[in-house]
Amino acid sequence: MTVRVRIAVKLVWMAALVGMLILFGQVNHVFVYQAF
Amino acid sequence: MTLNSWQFLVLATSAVLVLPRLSGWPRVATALAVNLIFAWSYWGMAAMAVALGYIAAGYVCARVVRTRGGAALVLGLVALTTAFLYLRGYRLDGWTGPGAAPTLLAFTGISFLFFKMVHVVVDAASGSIDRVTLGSYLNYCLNFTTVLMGPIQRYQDFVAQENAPEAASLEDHVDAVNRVLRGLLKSFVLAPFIAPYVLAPGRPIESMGGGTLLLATYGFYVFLYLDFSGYCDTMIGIARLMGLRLPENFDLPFLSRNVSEYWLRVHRSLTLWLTDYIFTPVYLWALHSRGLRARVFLALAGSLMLTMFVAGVWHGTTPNFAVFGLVHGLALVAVRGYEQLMVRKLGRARFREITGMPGVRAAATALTYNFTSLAYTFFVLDLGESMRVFRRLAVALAGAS
Repeated sequence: MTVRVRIAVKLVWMAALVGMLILFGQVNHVFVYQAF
Repeated sequence: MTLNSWQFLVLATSAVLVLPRLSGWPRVATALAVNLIFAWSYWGMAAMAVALGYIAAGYVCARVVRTRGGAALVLGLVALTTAFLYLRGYRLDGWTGPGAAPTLLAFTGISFLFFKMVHVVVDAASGSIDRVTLGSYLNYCLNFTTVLMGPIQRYQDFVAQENAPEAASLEDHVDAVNRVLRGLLKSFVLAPFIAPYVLAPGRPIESMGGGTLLLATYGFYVFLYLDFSGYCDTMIGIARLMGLRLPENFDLPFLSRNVSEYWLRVHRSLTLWLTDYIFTPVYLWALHSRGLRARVFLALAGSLMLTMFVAGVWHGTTPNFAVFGLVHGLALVAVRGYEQLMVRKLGRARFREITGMPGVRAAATALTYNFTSLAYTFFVLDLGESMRVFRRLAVALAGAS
């Protein structure tokens, strides 16, 4: 797999992650370790 | 400024775009401005003043111990530790009463800051750190990618990377952005998705089925992994885009085959800190002490128990955290004792051969997962609720058998 193809695949995955975050990631969440 | 807010997106993007193009004092000053904005958003003005005062005290200690030697080191460490215990809200009466609450002066990340400062002071005294400059020290303590919850980076690594940021290819940048997004997905999508089903204070323990309660206990480990490793992925990715390489904190912890391996796969930067600044000095002292010189295993066991006690109480001010650490300490002693016994009986080669068998590996992994999940009960619940969980599980187990 050439570097360009690898980067293209990763960009597609990146777009999918952004989509999931926009759809489901708008939540209030306090990290457990924030208490420490 | 939560990590899934547009304010954080703007701040982190600005830092990623600007900082790698700067060097020398402009980079130090710009990084400090970014770090202070981030810290202020979490701490507010009052706690910020307290935090900066505490950080300044660490700087003075680090400078003084370089020239004044052993007595100054002891005094400095006692002063920093006393201030930490006070600010964090450790109270002896909290251990017998309803539970100590953090003082108003406590600020997010104080435990991580304390360990970072102790590292700088001890390494400055030993000469491992050549020079502590104010700008680099402030950015090390306040670095917005580590200030909240680690990873606990070493000062020497931070300064070396700050002075000569690592070059990265286009693919490295894509990987780093993907890691940031993957971390946000873990923390803000997957962790909140399973949060309602995992062990938490106030659950109706007695009315829960044994299986449901056990799944909730298993689930907390998964939840904590998603929550904390997601945060680490996000921060490690952002740091990478700024030319910094933070230490890794997680390495597939669910595959751990014993508790010792678990601590190298979970919160690894904390484990390495504890090894360097608690376990190793205490163990070496014990090996050279008159009473323990001939009792090597006792010296090892004592050092492990003390280290894990510190690990436990570092996590929280209430007794359940001490029990969490001590339970892990006992498990580590048991693992070391078992290994030594088996090596003596079977020989190292045969023991390694047996532990490498697929069935033994799977059983060890399952046992470790069960132990670490159950031990987290003391991490998430107070002692009373923890004991109710174990009683309920015992009753369910007795009913099933």
